[in-house]
Amino acid sequence: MKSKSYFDVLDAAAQRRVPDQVDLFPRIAAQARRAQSSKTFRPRKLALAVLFVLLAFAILVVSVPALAQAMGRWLGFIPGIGIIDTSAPLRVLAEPLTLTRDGVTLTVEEALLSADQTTITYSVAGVPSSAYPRGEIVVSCLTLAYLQLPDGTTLEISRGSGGGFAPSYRVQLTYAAVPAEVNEATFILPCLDGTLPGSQPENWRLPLQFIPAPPALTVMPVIELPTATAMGGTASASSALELLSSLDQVIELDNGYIFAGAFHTVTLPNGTTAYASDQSGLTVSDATGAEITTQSAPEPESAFSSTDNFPWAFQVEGKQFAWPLTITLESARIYLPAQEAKFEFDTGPDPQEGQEWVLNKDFELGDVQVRVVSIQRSADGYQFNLHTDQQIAGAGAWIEGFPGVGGGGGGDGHDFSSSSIYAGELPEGKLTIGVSILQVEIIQRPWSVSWQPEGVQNNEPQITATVDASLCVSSANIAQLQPAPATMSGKVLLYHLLDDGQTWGVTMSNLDGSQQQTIGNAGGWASLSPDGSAVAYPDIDGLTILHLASGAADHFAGVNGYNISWSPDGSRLAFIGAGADWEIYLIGADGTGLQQLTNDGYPKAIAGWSPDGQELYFTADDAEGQTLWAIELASQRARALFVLDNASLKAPFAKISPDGSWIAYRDINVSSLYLVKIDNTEQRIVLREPDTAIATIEWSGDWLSLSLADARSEARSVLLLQPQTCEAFLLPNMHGDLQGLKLP
Amino acid sequence: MDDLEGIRLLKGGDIAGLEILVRRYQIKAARAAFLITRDVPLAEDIVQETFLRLYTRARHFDESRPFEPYLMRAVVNAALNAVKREDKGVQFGDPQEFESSMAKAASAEIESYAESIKSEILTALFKLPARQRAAIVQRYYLQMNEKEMASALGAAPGTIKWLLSSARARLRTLLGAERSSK
Repeated sequence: MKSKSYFDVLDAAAQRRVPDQVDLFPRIAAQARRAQSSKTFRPRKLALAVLFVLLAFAILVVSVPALAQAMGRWLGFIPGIGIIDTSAPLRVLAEPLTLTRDGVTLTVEEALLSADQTTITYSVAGVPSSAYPRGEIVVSCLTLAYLQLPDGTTLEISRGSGGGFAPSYRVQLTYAAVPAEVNEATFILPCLDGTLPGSQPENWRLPLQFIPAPPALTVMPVIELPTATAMGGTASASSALELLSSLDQVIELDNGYIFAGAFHTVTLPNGTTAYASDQSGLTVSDATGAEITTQSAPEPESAFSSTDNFPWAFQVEGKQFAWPLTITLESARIYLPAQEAKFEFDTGPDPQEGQEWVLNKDFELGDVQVRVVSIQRSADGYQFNLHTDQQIAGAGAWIEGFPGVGGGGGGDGHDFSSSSIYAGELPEGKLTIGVSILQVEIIQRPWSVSWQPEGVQNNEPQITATVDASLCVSSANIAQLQPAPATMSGKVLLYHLLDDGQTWGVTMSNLDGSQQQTIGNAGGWASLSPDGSAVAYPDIDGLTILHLASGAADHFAGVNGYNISWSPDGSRLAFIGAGADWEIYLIGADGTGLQQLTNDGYPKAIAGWSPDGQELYFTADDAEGQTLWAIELASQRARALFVLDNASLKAPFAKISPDGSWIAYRDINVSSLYLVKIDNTEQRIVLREPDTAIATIEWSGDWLSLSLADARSEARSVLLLQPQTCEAFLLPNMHGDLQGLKLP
Repeated sequence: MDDLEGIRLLKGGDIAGLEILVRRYQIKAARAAFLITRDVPLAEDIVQETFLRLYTRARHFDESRPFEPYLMRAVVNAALNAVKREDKGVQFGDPQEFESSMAKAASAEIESYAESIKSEILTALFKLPARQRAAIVQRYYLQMNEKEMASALGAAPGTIKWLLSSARARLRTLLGAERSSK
């Protein structure tokens, strides 16, 4: 039988949707030629996207925060609309209205009138792509639809959303309230959004009629917290910025709740924009500590931000919880005020399209060194190429006094380009160039608050008190962990990015990172001997043992494997063979006595040794799950002990404590650490932190050490934990995968 | 003509250089992007934009570097960027389901390669989070090693190892069982 590589398999699967006949070159070539001939070219979709972003921005800057606006009134929530004032009867559109002109159809689909606002939803279909400009310098329709009352009054737009691309799109606009006694208005759309002047029918008018909302209209109650419930504040060590967060409102849905709150700045300098962390930085847990799944709120108010108020909102499904729920926001992202510099630049007489001025002009903006590498002139503007000495969020440049009609930019963190496009004459001669950068600070310290509906009794925890009581590290306290005290000594074997910033390797160092020693060619599978004197690792020459004191290395040629585990007396090593199987082998520390211990084909991982060295423990991913096995070395008889409850299906990283009494492993979500007695009589969860993944587990004496990977950034931290006393410390200078730990 | 000649033509502003590179790599690039994005038009847009970026920045390309890894890295990153928000709030699929499908397909005879298996692979792959799909595509489709993947994904090699270790374990076991049964 011919067998295929995985490339063949995936290629054949993808071929069904991307056949061999696909040829992208004609369209790539067309765009390349267009780009060559006119640097103004932008795909229509992009131009429209820019248009609608501008549209949204233009509306938002004049709006009032919906949450703040709504305070102190009877509030309700309508999915698809948002929070409204329900103190007056609600009204809706009597019926959808449609008008077709020259093949283009405008439909006013819905209206919702409340005491505080009027929301109109309309759609447009049938707009030909030729109606849109192909470049940015052509002015297209930017006039928004408006509502005119019978007395000629025009209602102001307060916010808008939606938009899209030809041939059809949908827009929702919110206006001021229509007076209660007025049940008619005219919807006027001066021109179709984003189209070229005169290319499509203009001055669309549709007469609207409003009627009382049907009883079936669902309005969810909004629970306003009497005063914003503070979630705590924190100071950023680096810049002394400070943020507070609060939970302001809870919206009760049929099948869950929406929680709405905000960050409030306290000492943020003017111009600073802050955003709450995204959903991955948010956790909600019940009274038992169990995490509740969240999702974005259907009508998040976070689209709006002012200089001191940055709302957030999310939704949980269900109403039966072990109350109260605790909401924790792990971090906030702060966009620091742009820092700017200016310099004089002379294009000289008669600058030409395509001309490039290499400047290499350097500026210090804060602690960032910015280099203006070059300026290029295009057919309709200038492009600025910048470089920064450190990773930042953004950098750009512009010509002072010439705002331009468009442009854009981007970069990879170090190299940025930005362009400015002008209609008509391009600026030239002696110009002043502005340069700015954008830096981001992430405040990691969590904000937390608990809430429960009125009248709800606190539920008993769902899991046993033993388990709950044993939780040493969780979302609630992980950020408060202190560095290991200076009096604590020990050695750490760590796989991490080395000082050159390029290479990954294994080093041995003190707990504080001092006295670092690089371990040969060791990679991610190094193992520290029980006495801390030697490191075993797979090398290209075979299994290698490096003796740390002398620097001498023993290479066992032809012995290839990983997941190496030293016997308690350091005389033998067990490992998983690197061949096609997943079997366990044993070899003496002097390279003699190689033998194969297992031969069953199940994926295995070595968990450790019994204290007397007579038995070896391993986990096998068999039909039952992750099963803990023990193999008696003298007889080579293996026996299954028990299945590790709720263990990671991928790799539980199970490790036996040196005294042989406990086995530690990570759970199925890889974010909780379980301890179970070797006789399976007791189980504890000592760590639960949904925002981290446990990357490695090591024991030294009765201390555990874990590498934790941040779920968002994957940045590593190393945690020391004494599970009996719950003493826990971070090793502040350790950022990598722990391979071994030796405490005195 | 090889990649280097194509790049040199491109640096000289000759669009024929672009044609050489596009025709050589477009299918593989589009399939890689599709396996990550699950969306054919989006995948084609990504490949198109990647080549266009290459075209406009050709003069910065280091000729001493091999072209294909550079291109594929750009495609994978663009595909990941395009779908990076999708993972939020969704229930992830089971990596084992994908691995099982892969092993089944790999052990089937080429001649009797069933459409149902191809469909099964895509279904299983598409249930995985985008980042895991990208890792699978890089390792098994683009055949990058873990170091290259770590560099491309901006992740620690340990993370890549972690992403792939289970898949390898199961695949090798299943394939081993398949081989030994023949």
